Amino acid sequence: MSALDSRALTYLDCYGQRFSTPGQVRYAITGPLAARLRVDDQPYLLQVADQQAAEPQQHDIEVRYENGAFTAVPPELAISAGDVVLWHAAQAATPPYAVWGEGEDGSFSSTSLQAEAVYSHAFGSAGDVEWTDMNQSGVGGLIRVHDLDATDRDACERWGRVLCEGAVVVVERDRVDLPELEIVTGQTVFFAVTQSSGMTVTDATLAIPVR
Amino acid sequence: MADIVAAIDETAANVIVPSTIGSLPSVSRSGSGSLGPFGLSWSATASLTGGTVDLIPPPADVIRIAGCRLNYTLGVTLSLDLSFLNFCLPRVCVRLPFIGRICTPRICVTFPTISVPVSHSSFVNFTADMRLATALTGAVWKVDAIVVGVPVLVLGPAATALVAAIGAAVTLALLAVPFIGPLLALASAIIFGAFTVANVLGLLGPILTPFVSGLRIPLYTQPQMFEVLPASAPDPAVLVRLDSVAAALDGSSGEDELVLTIEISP
Repeated sequence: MSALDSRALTYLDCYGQRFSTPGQVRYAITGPLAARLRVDDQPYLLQVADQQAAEPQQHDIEVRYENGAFTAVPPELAISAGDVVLWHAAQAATPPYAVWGEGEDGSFSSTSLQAEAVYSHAFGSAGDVEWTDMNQSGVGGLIRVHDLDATDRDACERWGRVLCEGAVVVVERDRVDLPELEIVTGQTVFFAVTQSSGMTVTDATLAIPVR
Repeated sequence: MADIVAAIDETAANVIVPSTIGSLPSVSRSGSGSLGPFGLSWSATASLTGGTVDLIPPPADVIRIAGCRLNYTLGVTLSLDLSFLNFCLPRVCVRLPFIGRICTPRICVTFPTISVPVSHSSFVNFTADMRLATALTGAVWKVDAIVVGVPVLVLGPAATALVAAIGAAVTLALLAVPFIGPLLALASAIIFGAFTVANVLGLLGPILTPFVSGLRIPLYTQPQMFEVLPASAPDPAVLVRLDSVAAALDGSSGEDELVLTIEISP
């Protein structure tokens, strides 16, 4: 339920997308399979206004799961061109989901990260996590997650400080700026995709070999 | 004077009683309980073997069986509510090349209730006193030896072994829980605090004692109508009626014996 996989977001993940072109963006929040097949309405709306702030603003949208369906809160949002929208689920019980839609910039999807997209994941278990792009672009890397024994007060404080420090991996086409990264359990890694033909960030152990 | 008197001495009793005990079928029981703050369900299967019989006539008037062995398999499923570990990851902010500053929301990690199955097989030796009980039930005479009182089961070694088995299973289960890594030492200290030998003894005693307490060992079973000669045409079968059956321990002859006295009528 909490594996590293941008195709199936959980409460430990966030998906962010920058919208640079003014106009309407319609999107859906569905299960990962429906997102891949794009078989659903796009009931949610972003109004992207033609006014850019000096610094792009971040807008958060909470993903909820109610009565067997995903909903966005708020369902409609007005933003400025260049702003970033970040989708996240607050409840641990939220099933895996994906965000996908279309705007003036073209289509976007958490299952296929293209331009100016970000996927973040909080790592819950120690160990080496090799990540790969399931869309076969060849990009990938290794995250080494270490446990930290937070038994005493000092260790707890140290862990608390480390948890506030996110790590960033930037992917541009077939180049990964940090192919290997060391973090501690609970730390968040941001995978920022500046340009791609549509990639995923997926734990390599989830990859099914194709003969 | 009784019509029939049958007696076995201690040597014979040491053959008959242990062999009868060994032929008793396995018994299963299940239930639920707790270990400190943690709930559990259990199922146990037990069988008995061995023992050395001592026939002790009145005034004690008991059949004492020493070194009897209760073999058991205990399956325990512990339910560990780990919600006491719940915590929230703080808001994390980074600066990205194309966006600028971006922050995740605070993420609250909810720890689950995990089920930990533990299987444990062992045995415990005990000594029990039994009294004879005779009854005519459904036209069948039965003489049983029934365990009286609550035999003391020495469960210390079994409890220690079970604590170790629980410890191993719980440690393995905890390692699979996301986000527990940094909290593992803290979680283990709290959880294992509940799994003391004393607590496990308090669990094992009530589970295992009923397998022994009140145990009924059948020593003699005979239909009230006893066939002396089978039917052989033209004569019908010859039957006698067992009017009364009595069983007692007797040491008056200088040797301790289990004596069966039977009154019959045609």
